[in-house]
Amino acid sequence: MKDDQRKPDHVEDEVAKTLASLNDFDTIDTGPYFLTRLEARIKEGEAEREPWLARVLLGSRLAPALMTLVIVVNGLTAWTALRPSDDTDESSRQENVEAIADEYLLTPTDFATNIQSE
Amino acid sequence: MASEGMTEKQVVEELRRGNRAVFRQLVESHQTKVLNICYRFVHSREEAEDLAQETFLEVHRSISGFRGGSSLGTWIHRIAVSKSLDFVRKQGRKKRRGLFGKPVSLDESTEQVPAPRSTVPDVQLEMRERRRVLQTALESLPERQRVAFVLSKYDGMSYQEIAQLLKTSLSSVESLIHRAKNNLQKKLRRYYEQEM
Repeated sequence: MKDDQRKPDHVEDEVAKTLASLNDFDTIDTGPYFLTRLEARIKEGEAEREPWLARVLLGSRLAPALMTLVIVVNGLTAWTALRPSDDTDESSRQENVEAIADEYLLTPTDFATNIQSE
Repeated sequence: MASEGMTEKQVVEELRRGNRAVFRQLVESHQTKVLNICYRFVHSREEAEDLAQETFLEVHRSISGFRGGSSLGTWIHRIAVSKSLDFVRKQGRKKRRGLFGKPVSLDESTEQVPAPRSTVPDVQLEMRERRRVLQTALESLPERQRVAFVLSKYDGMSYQEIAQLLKTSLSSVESLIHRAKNNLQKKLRRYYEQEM
């Protein structure tokens, strides 16, 4: 058979072999850490979606410290607001009253006298 | 096992609630098939594994949008095919007009062509070359023909599953595969005639 006559057979042969090469694909398996890597990526994605301030404030190490700070500050505020007033406060209040009386040329006694005389 | 005895609807509900054990179970059930679907499109184990990871990440993110129009497995495989096709499109290899009339890749890196089964070097080289030629020819096919043909070559997928994945009928899948094969034969014939 001449070369030219053999050529179409050879071409068809090559075509068939090339098409058949797709049948030779092995079935592959995932590596041993596929699931571990996937879960790590999911966790990363979830962390990225949280606002940065929430991440800082609610981060596992800072949360107990911040909570303690909040409790202490609130406690101090409450104690300051509710504690009984002492002599120092009373004397400064008296000073304020006298300063106002001087300003308006009044004394508590004058005021009382004025009321009685009316 | 976490999802044993659960219906698919219950599995979906648990996934929406963020049940990690059920998600883990889902991954273990589908990872091999997803990986091999990707592998048949991208021809690289490393890239196939990355794409398989991307597929499950997408499943995790989008499970609330799953409407149940198809089975959960089909939905997952559809995502895998979509990710693989996006990857192939975005690859950005240098192209030149080739024998098939469409851009062909100049990238002859062996990483892109999976190792053939034979251990004889000459045979390996020949098979690697055939796969490169075939891969180029496949990339020149219309997308639906390419998807149907490539998936039909994977033993793990029936024509019925391919039909569900492509949201078409069984007869359409058979037609797509038939046309894909004819087109590939024409392209390869032209290529080998010019080679000789």
